[in-house]
Amino acid sequence: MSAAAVSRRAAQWMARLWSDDASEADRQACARWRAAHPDHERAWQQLQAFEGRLLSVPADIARHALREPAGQGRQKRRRVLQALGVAFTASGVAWVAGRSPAWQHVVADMRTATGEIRELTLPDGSRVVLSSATAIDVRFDARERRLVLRAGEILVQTAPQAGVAHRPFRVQVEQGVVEALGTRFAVRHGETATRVAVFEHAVEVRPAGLQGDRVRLQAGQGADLRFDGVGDMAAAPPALAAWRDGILVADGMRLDTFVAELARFRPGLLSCDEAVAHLRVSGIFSLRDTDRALHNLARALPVRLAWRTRYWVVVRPA
Amino acid sequence: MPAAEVGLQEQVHALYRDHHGWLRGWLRRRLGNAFDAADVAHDTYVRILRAGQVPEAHQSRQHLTQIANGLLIDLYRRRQIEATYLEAIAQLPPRLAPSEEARALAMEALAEIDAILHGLPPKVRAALLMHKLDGMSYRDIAARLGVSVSSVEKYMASALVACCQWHGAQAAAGGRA
Repeated sequence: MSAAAVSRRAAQWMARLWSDDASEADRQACARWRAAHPDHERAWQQLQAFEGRLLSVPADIARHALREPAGQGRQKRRRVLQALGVAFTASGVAWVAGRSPAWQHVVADMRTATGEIRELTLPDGSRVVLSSATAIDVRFDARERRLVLRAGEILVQTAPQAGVAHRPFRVQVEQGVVEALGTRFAVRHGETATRVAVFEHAVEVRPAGLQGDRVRLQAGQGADLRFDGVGDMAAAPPALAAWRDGILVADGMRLDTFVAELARFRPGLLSCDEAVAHLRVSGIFSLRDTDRALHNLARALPVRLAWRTRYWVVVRPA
Repeated sequence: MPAAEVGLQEQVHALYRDHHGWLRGWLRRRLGNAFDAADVAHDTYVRILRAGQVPEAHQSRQHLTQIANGLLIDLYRRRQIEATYLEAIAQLPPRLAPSEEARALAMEALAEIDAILHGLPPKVRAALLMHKLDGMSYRDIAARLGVSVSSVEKYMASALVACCQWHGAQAAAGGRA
């Protein structure tokens, strides 16, 4: 038996014995298999050691570190990035409505320039980070807290509600509505579909074209909200929100996707030759200095940068 | 030592001599500190040595940065796990706070588990954690994930296979895990 086959068999045995209906016969058969060859026993020991390590950390702490996708809190991310030496530029902007009696009725339009990332504190204490080239309208009244996303991408951290009156927090896009259920999530505007990614707790998405239809997304999940439904469920790792700190975390990302991400933060044209579109990129890249990111890309992959002008760059085969 | 191995050693030595200073500088600019940069640079060369393949001379720096970038991602994930762990234990009452040694072991264990589970399909990862951390039965996990009980058993097996593969890869890379 090859090493891979032995591992597979050991894994199957352990999965069998963990099951609710594992029988005495299963246990005996597994013991016989382990005794049949030293390699079998070695593979088994390796899995037992893994299980032991998994159980060695108190469950609630392990759950926190492993399940809640890592690196959620703002402070924590900041610490992580500082530990990695990624420079930080604070861009908090205080909200002007303050404590006046009219604070509940706020109507405002905010936008960011290409390459700009800006954080706002909303009148209720919720925070919203606007990505590059993003436009939102803030519509708060006595019944609800509503943001209208016109372009770009936002990351929302809702504040717990004080007082009795529950005012739902909603993000409206062309294709429907995203409602926060006490949470941290990102919404990215798109022509035909809006990408929703949940990092903490849950949100409910409601396509505009389907009356009464709703889908709940939990932490770590993402999906495309379309006019006529919700599709393309996918994982939402915390790295998806790393733009908030001005970095792009690529973990085996396709080059064409990578270039499209970078292009969102860069004035002018940035495109990728089809011949290299399939290459995979890994690394941490600056979104605040896209020239440097491109320069580092050309170091890491067999590509070169064709500069037509300062504002027109094509990534080509080297 | 076989001749081929001697040749490899020499090639890696040349790669080290010609590019190590540059790689460390490149990493220091990205990481902002010389210690992590030196560690990652060291690990990059270890990877090449263990992989047994030295790139063509004109591709040296590209190859080095490719490996170093992969290691940077690992470091980033690891630091995230550590920060999450430290935040979680900071909320414990002082008498329950783990010792320095227990912390180091726990962070090591978490980083390893995360590295193994990273890259698994979300349902596989979720199923394993539900079973091991929440003590849920296969039947309950199946109901929660909306799959059959036999799928849950397959998920467990594939998570465990990933564990073996990870150990295999570590042994091959001679990593510090």
